[in-house]
Amino acid sequence: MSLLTDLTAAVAAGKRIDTVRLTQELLTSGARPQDIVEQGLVPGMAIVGGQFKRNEIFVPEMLVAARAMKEALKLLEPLLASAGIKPKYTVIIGTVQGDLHDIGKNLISMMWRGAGFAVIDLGTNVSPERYVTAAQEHQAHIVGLSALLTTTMPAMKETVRLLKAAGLPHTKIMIGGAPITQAFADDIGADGYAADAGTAVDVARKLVGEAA
Amino acid sequence: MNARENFQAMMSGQRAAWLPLNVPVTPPVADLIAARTGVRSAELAFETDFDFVAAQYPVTPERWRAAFQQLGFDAPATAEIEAFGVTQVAPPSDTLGSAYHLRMLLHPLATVTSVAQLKNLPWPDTAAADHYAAVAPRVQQIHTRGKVAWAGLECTLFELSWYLRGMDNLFQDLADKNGIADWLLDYFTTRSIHAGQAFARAGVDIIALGDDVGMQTGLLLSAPMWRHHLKPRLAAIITAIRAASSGRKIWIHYHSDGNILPIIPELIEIGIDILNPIQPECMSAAELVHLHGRTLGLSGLVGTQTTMPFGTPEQVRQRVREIAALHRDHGARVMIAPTHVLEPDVPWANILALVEETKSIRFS
Repeated sequence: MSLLTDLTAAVAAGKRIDTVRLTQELLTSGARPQDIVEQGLVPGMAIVGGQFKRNEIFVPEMLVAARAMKEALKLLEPLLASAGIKPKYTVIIGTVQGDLHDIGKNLISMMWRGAGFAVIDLGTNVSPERYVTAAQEHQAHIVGLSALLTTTMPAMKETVRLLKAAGLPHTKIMIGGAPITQAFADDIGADGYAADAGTAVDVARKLVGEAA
Repeated sequence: MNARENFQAMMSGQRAAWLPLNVPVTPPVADLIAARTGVRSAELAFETDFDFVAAQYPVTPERWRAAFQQLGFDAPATAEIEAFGVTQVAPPSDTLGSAYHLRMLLHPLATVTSVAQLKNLPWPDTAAADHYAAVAPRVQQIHTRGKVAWAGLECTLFELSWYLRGMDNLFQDLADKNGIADWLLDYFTTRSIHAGQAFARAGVDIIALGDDVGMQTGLLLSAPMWRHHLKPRLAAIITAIRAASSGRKIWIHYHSDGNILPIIPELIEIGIDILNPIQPECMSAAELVHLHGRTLGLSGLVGTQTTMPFGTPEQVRQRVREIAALHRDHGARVMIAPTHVLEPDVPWANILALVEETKSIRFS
């Protein structure tokens, strides 16, 4: 269906007006909202993620593409909700306690939304207890922890400890941020680590059992 | 030889007597220094080579607060609004101190829809000489003490623009070509020209420009986008500073976190003399010395994501020795510093190791 192909291309190029127009045209032509998301928007953001990982595009292009998708979702989400269609996976994300930086966290959040996940963004300076409560409340498949500062890495460790202690067998924990490494993730018992927003989608998909 | 002469020798490509040292710290670390030494200033406690000057712009939070309300943004009562409208809120708990990067940044201009709205805001007149009146006497004091006078102009244009507008909005503005991002970038370019020229006339040795355009893994924005939007403005600032310096050498120091390898040749081309902070976690100082050592000085180099908080004192000392070897063995122009302000998690023993090892090394 060429309109879907066009929509994918429009999202990937960050063309907000075209993305909204094509979404509207697809709806008018009778396309199902979930097909527009899964076959139009999500593939567009997958292109963006791949280009970002390969350094073919950078943060501005990613932000602009994510905004284009967000505008389209404004049209689609009420229709999806009224049809009772929910994303297959729910992920929780936040910047750990003591850390107020949100750019990296927001980029991951956008890319996860772009991958079709339901994203619960807890914001910044999130206490370990709040992560646990949110993970339980939303039955999260993944909890994502972000930190920019070395001073807040201990809060990440404590959050992982509490999440593990809470006994959430279906919840995986991912971490990331400038000073974070795979070795640190291994050390504190996180299930996954991603160095950038493009990789974060691949890692999340693997953690929920889907091929990246 | 005093610190200023040593710095000039180092950055002119001659043999220096020692590594110029700078130790930027967060307020909690300043408290620690005070508790240990009786002096809160790292510059005084450790007798570092640099001292600092800055412009004094009028801070008018109530005017900004009223202007923001007109735009539909209600700044929280606890918000601190700075001279250029940058708005921050301290965290609810001060367990990690209150340094600038531990505060929540709000984006009061996120709702702006036109350049006309921007023009109506209470921007300081950055050309007014009053803002810079205290600089020359302060520079004289610093020089009398034989130290290097350093004028800070970091957050030169890009960062202040996105602090106000929000990074996503600023990039969307550039994509939409609506003029809003360009107006902000131009305003801060003009501010930096005014300040930079005032600093140059006041006799400073270093003017420190900077905007973070790097991430751990590479550039934040593409090199073509940087070339289009930031490089020409940065070049205009440097050209204006040079024009105001009456032929006297001023070292232009440029800070960007992260890996910015693809644009370093062009930073040199437009007149950057010293690059900071060269995070060892994502850029190799040795490689930069090999590629650009004859034209570019390096500043920083001791990792605050690794060695300073997590290394042993011996590992800190080893890193200092590696940096010293870059000058001794390869003629590199280097000044040593942590790659970011020291956070409260850095052990006192590591701070002492940095200072003591640096001071113990003398080049013959």
